[in-house]
Amino acid sequence: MAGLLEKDLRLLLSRKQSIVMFLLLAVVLGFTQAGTFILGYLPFLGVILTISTISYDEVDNGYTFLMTLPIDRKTYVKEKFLFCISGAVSSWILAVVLYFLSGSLHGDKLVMINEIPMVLTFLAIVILLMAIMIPFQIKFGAEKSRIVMLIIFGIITVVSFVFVKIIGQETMNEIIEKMEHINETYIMMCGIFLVLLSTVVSYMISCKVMENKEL
Amino acid sequence: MIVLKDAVKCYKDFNLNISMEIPKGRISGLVGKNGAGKSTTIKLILGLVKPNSGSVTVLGTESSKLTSKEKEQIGVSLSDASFSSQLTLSDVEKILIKMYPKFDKEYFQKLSQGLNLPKDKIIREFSTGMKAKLRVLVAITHKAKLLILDEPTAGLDVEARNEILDILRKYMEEDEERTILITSHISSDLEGLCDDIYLIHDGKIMLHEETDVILDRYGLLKVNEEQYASLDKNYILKSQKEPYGYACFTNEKQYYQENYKDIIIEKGGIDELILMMTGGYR
Repeated sequence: MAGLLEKDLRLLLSRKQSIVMFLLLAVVLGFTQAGTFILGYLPFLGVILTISTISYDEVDNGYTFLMTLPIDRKTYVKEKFLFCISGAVSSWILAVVLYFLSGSLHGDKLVMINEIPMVLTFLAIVILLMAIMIPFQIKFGAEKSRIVMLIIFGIITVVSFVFVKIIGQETMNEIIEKMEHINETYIMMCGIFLVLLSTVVSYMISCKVMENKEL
Repeated sequence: MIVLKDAVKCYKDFNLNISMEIPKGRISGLVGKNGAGKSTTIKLILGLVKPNSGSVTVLGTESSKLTSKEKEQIGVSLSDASFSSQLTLSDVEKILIKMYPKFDKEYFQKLSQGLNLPKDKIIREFSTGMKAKLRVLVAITHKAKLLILDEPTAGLDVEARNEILDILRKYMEEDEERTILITSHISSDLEGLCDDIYLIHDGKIMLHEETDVILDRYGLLKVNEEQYASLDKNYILKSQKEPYGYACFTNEKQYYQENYKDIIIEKGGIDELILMMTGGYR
């Protein structure tokens, strides 16, 4: 596990010029763009960068070689989740710091406690995105997984559209209205549970995909 | 060390069905043409693919269930796969330190200097020879008991090949229980290094013989039609029609040298073995 983390960290650092550029851009955008842009931008970037190490593992029969090292397939998946979650969380922390710094520079009176649910939502969305992306990346590789993801999001959009059409816009509005009355803490707990569940399910699927991969 | 018992692996257009046994302290060579099944055999041994039937055990454990601790005792050099080409030699060293508890940093540095591998250049910019050297370096610097080397000398010039072979010989001298399984297209490398040779063809082991026996007792007889007709064919393993008559491969060269003074008998090396036994001699 330690060796794999070292490898991924070094792979990430091999792109240090791009990372520095992205970070500079994040700082500039964080201070010039008002609002929550930075909270979405940086953690999303963190996840994309850490997940991109899977594509490095995939090229030139990389998986075949990695599995000859003293690791098993489950450890590989475990490390990938750990690395990507670390990437998401650390870039999210940086984003939160920049968000509050920028807020105070712009003279906005941000009360940290009040902002927590909103700030956490960004982390939850990014982790959810990661949980969706990792099994696809492992199963289909960088190129194909992009197409598969597009198809899946397309299907979700169509299904949602058809769902709204079937139940009718008015019923949908009623559902949304009812949801707005649900306790905020309850929604937050549900959100956290959903993210945790998705991550665990994604990990289990990724392990299965990796176990069945012919190298 | 390695035991394959009726190990069968089926693909759409290729079937492998082999049995092999490599004991401790041996250097065994696996030879065969491209597509004969060498890489699939190596993948079975490393547990990268599972056999459809039969068994593959390495260090006493089923290969697909090798633990990390057991894998630490194996050094692998694959012909077409290694660390990401984005990394440098220095990165690889740091990764190996974390990967193998018995990694010998000083030995790694000494060897990489001796093999003229640049420390801070990314692997993508390495020459073919440098990449081959690096693959071997990664396999032999953590005191593995078993080395599995797939084409370790491919792409190297004579001098570099000899350097690698010397390193492998020294590696074996350090501990008599160490074992190597090596595949190569360069027969002279195997002739000077291996204790025994497995010849694989169409997914089956066609022949298993001690290297010394191949070099001493195997030979190629070149005979005309008349000589062929009167030749004792009891010790002929394979014959092939040629413009001058027949090329006959034997495992009793001396018998023909003593009894057929007028026929041409050439040395039977691994190249001749592969070509004659797999039907490609010209």
